[in-house]
Amino acid sequence: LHPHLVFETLSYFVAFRVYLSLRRRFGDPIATPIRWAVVAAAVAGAALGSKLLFLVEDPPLTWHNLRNPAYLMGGKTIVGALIGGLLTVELLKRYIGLRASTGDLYAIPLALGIAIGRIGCFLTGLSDNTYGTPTSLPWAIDFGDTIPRHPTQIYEIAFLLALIPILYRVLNNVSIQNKTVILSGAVTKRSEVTAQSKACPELVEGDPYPSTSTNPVSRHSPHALDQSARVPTTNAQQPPTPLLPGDAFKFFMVAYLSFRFFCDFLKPYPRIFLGLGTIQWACVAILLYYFHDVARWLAQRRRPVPQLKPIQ
Amino acid sequence: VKVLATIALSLVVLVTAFLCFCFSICATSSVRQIDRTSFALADLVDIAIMLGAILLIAKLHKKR
Repeated sequence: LHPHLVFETLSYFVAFRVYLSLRRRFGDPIATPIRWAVVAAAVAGAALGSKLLFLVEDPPLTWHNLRNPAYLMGGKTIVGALIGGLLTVELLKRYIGLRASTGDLYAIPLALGIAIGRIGCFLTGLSDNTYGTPTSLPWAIDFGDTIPRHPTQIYEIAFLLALIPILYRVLNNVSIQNKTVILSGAVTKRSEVTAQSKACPELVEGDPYPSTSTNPVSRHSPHALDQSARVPTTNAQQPPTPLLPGDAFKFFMVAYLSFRFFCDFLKPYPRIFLGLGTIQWACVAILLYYFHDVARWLAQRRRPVPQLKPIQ
Repeated sequence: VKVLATIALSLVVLVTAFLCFCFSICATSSVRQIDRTSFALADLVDIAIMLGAILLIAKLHKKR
């Protein structure tokens, strides 16, 4: 069996199980059919994006292999998959008029899945094209061409495994923040929403798909406001964090793409412009896309966090 | 019907995405050139089905 096939399949399986576990634990603000649509868009965008970025990774080599379908369809890049998934989901959200952030629950499964997939890249060796530049460091690895190289796959696995506890903390803080916001909303809208849901308990206007989440306080629907009003006030007593829904995914993207930007200096990829490779330019583009969020995190870290009064 | 159609089409996308990954691996690791080309063409058809399914999902949930 090809190690890449084994570990990439394992990574999909483990990432999906972790996603389901996180969804049960933190709840899902998105209704189930919309979530299916978002997952499908992310997967399709990732499959397409991973191939498209691969084709422009080494333009002369792609040009040389224009008549070789195996080359054109065979390659994939993780950065391309992340960007393709992000763009497709954003396009779908705009098309169907969905404004809520949908990516928080994907952050940890993505980090874990990429880490497992990289084991396959490491075991595949030279043919995988993910090895590093030659080095004389003591942990250098000979992938079979008698040249000791940076084990960049191992660097990436170590980085992602270290990132997972941080992502969990961010996800937890985002979840607490959601609960606090919903509980605050429940104070002002409780009577209105209760009357509305009594009149039509199954379908409230604006919520065509009642969420199936087991965690009532994490829903954004009017039902959720009604249910969250009954939740004990202990959650509301926690101070809000400077995080918004969607920040766990954004934090993952910023952290991973920053890592890839620097790690790719250790890879023997062709540099297309200003000493940077195509993947590094893609990382720069997405980091610029998230510039406002990074600036917001930095600005809010400096600001004192206001304390909320407990709800009576 | 809309919910069931969304779930069915999403499953089509997930299966075709997994096949896409399998075809890519086969295309790069096959020994014979004719096998490589066949897997690459199968991958292309698979991607077309996947894109069709995602477009149908988007149409189903289009903002009115």
